[in-house]
Amino acid sequence: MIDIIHTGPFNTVQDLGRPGFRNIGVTTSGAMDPLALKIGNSMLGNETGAAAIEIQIYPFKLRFSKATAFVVTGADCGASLDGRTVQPWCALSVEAGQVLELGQPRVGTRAYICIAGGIDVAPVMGSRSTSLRGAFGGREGRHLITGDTLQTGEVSSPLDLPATGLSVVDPAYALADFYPAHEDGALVIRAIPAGEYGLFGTDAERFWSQAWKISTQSDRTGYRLTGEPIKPTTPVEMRSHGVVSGVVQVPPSGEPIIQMADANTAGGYPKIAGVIEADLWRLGQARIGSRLRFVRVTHAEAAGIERAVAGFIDDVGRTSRMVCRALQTMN
Amino acid sequence: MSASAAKIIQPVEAIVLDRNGARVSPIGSRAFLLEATGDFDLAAQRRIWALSRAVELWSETLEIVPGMTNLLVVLKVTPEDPEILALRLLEAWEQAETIDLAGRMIEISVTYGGEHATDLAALCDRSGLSDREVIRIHYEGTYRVFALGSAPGFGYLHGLDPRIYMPRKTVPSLNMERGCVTIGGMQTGVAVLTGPNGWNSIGFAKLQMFDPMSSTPAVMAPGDTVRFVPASIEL
Amino acid sequence: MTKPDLSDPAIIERLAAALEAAGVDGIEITRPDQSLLIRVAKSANGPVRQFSSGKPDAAARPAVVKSPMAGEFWPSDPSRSGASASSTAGDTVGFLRVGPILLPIAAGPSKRLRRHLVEPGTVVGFGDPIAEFEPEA
Repeated sequence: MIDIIHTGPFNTVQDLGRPGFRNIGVTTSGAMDPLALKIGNSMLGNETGAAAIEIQIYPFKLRFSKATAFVVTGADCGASLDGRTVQPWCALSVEAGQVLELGQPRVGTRAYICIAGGIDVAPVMGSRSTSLRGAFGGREGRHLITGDTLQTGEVSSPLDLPATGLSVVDPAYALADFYPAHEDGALVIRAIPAGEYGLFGTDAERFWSQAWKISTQSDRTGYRLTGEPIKPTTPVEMRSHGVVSGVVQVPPSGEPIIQMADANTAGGYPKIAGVIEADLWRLGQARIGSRLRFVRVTHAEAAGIERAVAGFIDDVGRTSRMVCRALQTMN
Repeated sequence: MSASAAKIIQPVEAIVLDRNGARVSPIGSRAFLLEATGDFDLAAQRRIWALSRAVELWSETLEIVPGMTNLLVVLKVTPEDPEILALRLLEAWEQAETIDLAGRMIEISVTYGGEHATDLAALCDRSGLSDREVIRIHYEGTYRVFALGSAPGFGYLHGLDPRIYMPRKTVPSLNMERGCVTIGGMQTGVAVLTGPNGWNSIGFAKLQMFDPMSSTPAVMAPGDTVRFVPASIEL
Repeated sequence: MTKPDLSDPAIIERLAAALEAAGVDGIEITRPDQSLLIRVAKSANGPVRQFSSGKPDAAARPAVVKSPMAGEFWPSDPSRSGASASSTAGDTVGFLRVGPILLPIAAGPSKRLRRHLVEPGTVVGFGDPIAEFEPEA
C-alpha cells in the first residue's frame, strides 16, 4: 500500500491502456511513455503492462506503508528516498515508512512510479488506466489527490533485488541506432504520410521541412503545434472515422494537432500524416515549448524500429532476473 | 478483379489505394482506414458492417473501429509491406455482402426546446422552418445507429431529414451538457459527456448512454433503430 | 610448518611468476599477521608486476571492493552522461553493466575512493578487485 503525501493535479494511474473499445467511443488512455512503463515493470518482475503512477506535475511525494520494491522510470526528476538521491531508472527495495519524492524533471516530462505487483485499482473494461474524460478507471476516474491510498498487487515471481538496487541503461542510448539524435535542437519524430497528404499540394513539403513548436495547449489528449500554417488546396468534407494516437490532423487554422493517449476515438479533420508507433513514447516525453521535426519513413523501417524496441524490453526483463539470480547464488 | 487494377495515387508520397468504390490509406504504422467513396447511405454502411465482421477475424487485427461508411483497422504489429495489407482490405471490401444488423429498437424520451435547446433558433433561421416544424421533423424520423465513436457510447445516427441538416458550429459550445439532443451536419445524436461540443442542441434526454461497469457499456450498438419521443415541448 | 613470510621478495617473486604462468591478473592474501596484494598488468614490454605487502596495519590497509559477478565495469553510468552521476558517488563506486542492466556497486565503508583498479569498460569476473577505498578512520 502507498499513501500519496503530496501531488499536483493531472497525476494519474495508467497502464498500457484500454484497447478494443474505440468502436464504442472509448479512448484507449494508457501511459504516454509506454516504453518507460514496460521497462519499469520488467525490472520488478511485473507483467510489462502492470499499472503505475504517471507523474506529469511535480513535486510528488508518497510513503510506502509496507515493504516492497519500486522503480522510477521516464523523466529524470531527481528522485530521492528518505532524502537520499535515487539513480534514474534504478529499482530498489524499500521498508515500510520510507518516503519517495520526485522533483522537477531535468530530462523528459513524465515519470512513472512502478511498484512491485503494480497499482491495484479495480480494472474497468480490462484496464486500470484512468480515463479523465470518461471519469472512470484508475482512482475513481479522477487524478490523484493528496491523501489518496493506493493498494498494490502481488508479484507472481518477485526479483530479489540487490541492496544497491538494479538500474538499466538509458533506452535512448541502448537504442541509439534506431533513434536519431536531435536535429538543430528539434526532436526527430518519424511519420508516414496519411490519407489526405496529397491534398496539401506544395504545403506538404513544409510539413516536413519546418521545426514545429509544441504549444502550451498540449496535454495527454493531444499536442497542438505552432509554425507556418499548412492548408489543403481544396476544402474537404470528411465523414467521421476512427483515429489512433499519433494521427496528425490539420484543422482549418493550418497548425497540426497530434492526437495522444487520451485522443478522441473519431475524427474528421484532414490527416496529413501518422506518427509511427515506436516514436509515440518519445513524443510522450517531449516538453511544451520544445521543437520537433517530422521525418518520413516507410512501414518496413517502422517495423524494424518496433522489433528493436521489443527486443530491448525482453532483454531487460530477462537480464534483470538473471542478474538477481546470479547475485543470490554467488554471494 | 486483379491487384494490378488498383490505381495508386501519389506513389512516392503516400500509400493510398483507390479502387471499386473504396480507398485505403494508413494512419501511422499500425492502422489502416478503408473509406467507401460512394454515397453516404445505409447500403454503404451495411457493407462496412459486413467488412467489419470479416476483418475482426484476421489474426493480425488488434481492433476494428467502424465509422461513417468507413472502417479503421488497428493491427497488433506494424506490417513490413503496407500494400499487401491494403490490397487484402480492398479484396475483403469487394467480397463484403451487405448485411443488416438485427438491432434493437431504442426509444429516447426528449424534452424539446427549453434551456438546453441553445441552437434551435439558429436552426430555424437556417432552415426557414418554425421551431415546432423543426421539432416535429426530428421526432418523426426513424434513425439507424451507423457507428459509435467520438465519446464513450456516442451513437452517430443516420436518417436525418435533409430539411433540418445543420453544419457543425465553427465555434463549439464550451460546456454542453450530457443528454443534449443534437444535430451535426446530416447526423443526429445525444451528447454523452458534458464538455465542448460543436453540434447544435435542440432538446434534452435523460437516458444514460454509457455505463463503464456494465458488461455491455454502451446502450446503443451499430444497427440499432432509434426513435425520439417528445416527452414535452417547451417553446 | 612455519608460514611463509609474505614480505620476503623471493616469495613474492615466486607467487607473481606463478600468477603470470596461470594467466591470473592478481591475488590478495590476508592473514592475521600479514597481508599481500599482487597485481599483474599487461604492458608493451611484457607483464608489469605491482605488489604491496606488510604487517596488517588495519588503519593503513585499503579496503578493496570486488566485483560481485561478471560484467563490464563503469565508474559512472555510461548511458547518462552527467545526468546525476555525482549525487550518489558516496554510496556507489560505479556500475557493472550486464547487457542492458546496470548493477550499482557499493562503495567501501569509508566512502573515500583511493583509486579505481580497472579502466572504464573493462570486463571483470566474479571477485575481481574493482577499487580501493581509504581505510575507515
